Amino acid sequence: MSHGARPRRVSLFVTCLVDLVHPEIGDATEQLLRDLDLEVDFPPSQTCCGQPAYNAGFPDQARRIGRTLLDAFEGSEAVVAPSGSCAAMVRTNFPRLFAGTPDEERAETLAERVHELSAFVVDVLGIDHLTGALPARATYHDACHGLRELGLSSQGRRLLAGIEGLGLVEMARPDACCGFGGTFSVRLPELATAMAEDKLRQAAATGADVVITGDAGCLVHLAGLRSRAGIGPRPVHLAVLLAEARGLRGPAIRA
Amino acid sequence: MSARPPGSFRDRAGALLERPEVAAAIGRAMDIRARGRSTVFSGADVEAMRAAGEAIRAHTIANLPRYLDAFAEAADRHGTRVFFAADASEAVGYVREVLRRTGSRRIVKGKSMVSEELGLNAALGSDGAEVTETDLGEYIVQLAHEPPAHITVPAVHMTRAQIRDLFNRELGAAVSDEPRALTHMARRVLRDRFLAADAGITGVNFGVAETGSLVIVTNEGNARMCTSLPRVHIALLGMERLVPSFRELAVLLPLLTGSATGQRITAYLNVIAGPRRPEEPDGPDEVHVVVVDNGRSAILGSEYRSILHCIRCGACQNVCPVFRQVGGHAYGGTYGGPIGAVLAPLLEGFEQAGDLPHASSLCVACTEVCPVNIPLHEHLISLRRDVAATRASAGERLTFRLWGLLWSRPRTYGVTARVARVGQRLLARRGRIPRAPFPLSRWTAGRDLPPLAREPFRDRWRRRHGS
Amino acid sequence: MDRSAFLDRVRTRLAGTIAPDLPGELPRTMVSGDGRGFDRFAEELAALGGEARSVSPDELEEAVKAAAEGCTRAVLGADLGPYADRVAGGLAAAGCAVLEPGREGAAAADLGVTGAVFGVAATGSVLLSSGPGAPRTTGLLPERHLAILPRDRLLPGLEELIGRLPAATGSASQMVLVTGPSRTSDIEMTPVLGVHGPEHVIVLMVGG
Repeated sequence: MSHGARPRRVSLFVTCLVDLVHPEIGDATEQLLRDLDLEVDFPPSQTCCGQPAYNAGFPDQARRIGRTLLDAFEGSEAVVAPSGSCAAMVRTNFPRLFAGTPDEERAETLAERVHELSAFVVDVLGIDHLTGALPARATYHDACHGLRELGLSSQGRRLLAGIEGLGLVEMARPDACCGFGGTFSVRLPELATAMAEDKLRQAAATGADVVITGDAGCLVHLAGLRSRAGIGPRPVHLAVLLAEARGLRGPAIRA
Repeated sequence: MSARPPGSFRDRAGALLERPEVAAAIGRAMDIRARGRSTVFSGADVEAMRAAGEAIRAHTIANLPRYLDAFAEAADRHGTRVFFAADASEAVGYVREVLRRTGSRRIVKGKSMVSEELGLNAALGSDGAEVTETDLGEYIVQLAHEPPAHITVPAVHMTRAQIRDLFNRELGAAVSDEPRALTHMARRVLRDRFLAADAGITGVNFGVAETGSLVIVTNEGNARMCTSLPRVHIALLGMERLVPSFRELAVLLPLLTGSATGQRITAYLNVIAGPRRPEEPDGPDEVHVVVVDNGRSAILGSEYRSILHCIRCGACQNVCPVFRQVGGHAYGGTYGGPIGAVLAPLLEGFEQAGDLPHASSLCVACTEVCPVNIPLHEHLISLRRDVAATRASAGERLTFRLWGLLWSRPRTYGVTARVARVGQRLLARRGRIPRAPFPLSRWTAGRDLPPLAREPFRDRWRRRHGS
Repeated sequence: MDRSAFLDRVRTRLAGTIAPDLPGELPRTMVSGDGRGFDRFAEELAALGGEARSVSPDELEEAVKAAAEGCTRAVLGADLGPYADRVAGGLAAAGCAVLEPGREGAAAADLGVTGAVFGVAATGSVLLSSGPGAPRTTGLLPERHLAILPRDRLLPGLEELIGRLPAATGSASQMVLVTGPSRTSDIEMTPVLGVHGPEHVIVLMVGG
């Protein structure tokens, strides 16, 4: 983690999924960061990190798309994404993806400056505790890339620990994949669905009202099975829950 | 090469998903394995062990010609006959010839993934030999006429009731479904086979280059039987499974047993150095080692070389969420799970196994537990690239090209989003999309799709803050 | 394929590969020694379902008698050294007949008594070696295995044992490190002892 002076200004890397499908996660991220006395900007030339192409075996296309981030965040001191997966794509895969290209150095620079939201708050800002209130029983799903490529696990839980009224109950295997896996969810839909069902059943067994995750990909996948099959608690993004608990946005979860 | 079953990974996985008892049995087993692994390493610096394991394997593989040569020289000194097999047919041919020359018809076999890879049992069976698998799990799947479903737990997909029915049918026994009763039933049957066997065939966990010794670990003791009682012992050694000397085993053995079964050490660790000495009262008169290439050397010069560092512990299978749902049979070959998804396309070709690198959600759990730090998920991504280069459909290629073209500029990105928002009006029902055209139909077959938001984040930002 | 052609192919494919050095010092593992001797040995073996006792030479006969309880036919290895007479005495006291060693005897026996080249405290293991008068079957076929381990042969951990293997390997065609009873969990992951090897393992460590 690149420590040093606490940044005063951050750039939002909202990710394509949040931009197009769940913009309220972007709103919540912005609200949280401003609430922590940071200036927030949003370079509009960003599109996507290119991960779907990279993981599908089309690195050329991934580079084309990923380059929009290198351009967009050229002047940014710190870049924050409400997604462990997209942040990990930039942090761990960009240096490999752009190695040997003219963009190699820019990719390495950006890789060091990109942070997943909870990691940014806890590890970079050094904030271990957020106050707030939200009466709900919750369980936490560790999104794979945040967990295993960025080493995130305690950060999100620590931020939730200070929320009054929020009871966190761990499921049997919080670190098990939900089956999203980008193109995996379409290439092997039956398997992906079985994995999501496994996850939702674990979450349901905790008696939780909501299953919290830090990645919109997991959220979309779990919500998609939940609305179809009617199992498990409602998936909620960490940023949205925290913003609501801190009174930064209207009640949606507690309703 | 053993024949692959017809169909794709998706077909086979789909059929296995229809049998929920399979996922339930595997899930229970894998939970036990995962817990065992984390417990066994809790008192040790496992990261230091993995780093040392990785360095040892990388060093050995990069110096393989030297160590293979040393192994053969040393083995020769104590009378072990070493045969170098370029491919499956050479390996099988050599084994057949040894069995023929020594008049061996009754064969007992210890666990050997290489023998599965070679299709050895079928070949020997067609010669009229009676081949008996003696690892309990292997014996069970052999009776069931199935391949092993897991590297270290071959019958992981079967319940005790299924095994009882199988024993009662195949062995004419009337035994209860208690694991202890079933195990001892097998013990009685197999004991007679061991005592009557002409030859024993086993795998090898490590070949020691310095001394030409074979190291075999087991818990049941079947490898002790196979290498002690018959007149002939034939060992199958994947050419990459060498260590320079015994010293390296101080790290590799605990990495192997801890990762494989959560054990600090296995019940038996056999060290074999040739046929019995003249003054020894028992042991085989002949010991043969078949060093098998069978596609491995082609991997050496590629970016996938580190897959040959694998020590076959099966830990990547134990933690893989895809493997957990369907088990090893879905992969259609000898090696299932993440190791199989990397190794099978490399050994068997993309025509045969090019779909396996996609049999992963890339959750990285495999890489996280690999005892020798093989970047399994990175290999999967690279293999997807190599497979796509020659085998991607025109439609898929076009989709990604078009996507790359449109999303490499914010303006055209915005246009695709606007077009999609208009298009989805036909599909959205009460805030969700229950049915969508191909390829998204594959998603909506089992799950709803979320519609795109009416106003994307970037537009909201512009509205609130200007540009 | 002949060896040189095989190796040439491997060499060609590896051309240009940079080989890292072997690690100079190897890390400790969970089977490294911890300074505790027999207590650790006995704890580890007991955890696996075996048992260990430390006895003086004078106590050996009585200990063998106890270990042989319930057995009627035994085979003995010739690797018991100075303890052979006391072991024989113990078996006689237990009413246990001694059969001719070798395959037939071992297959008919319910107890096999062997010496041990080394013991490993960190794992509760004993190293058996094939050799003159020491058939492999003695510690393998009977349901109960009794190993006699001289006290000065107990090593702290696996590293120390491995350090001694190259020297030991020159003379014997087979060595086996035995750690507790034969075991499996191949059926629904349920642990069961006594698959192919002995179900009961008893180690008597003898010394002054």
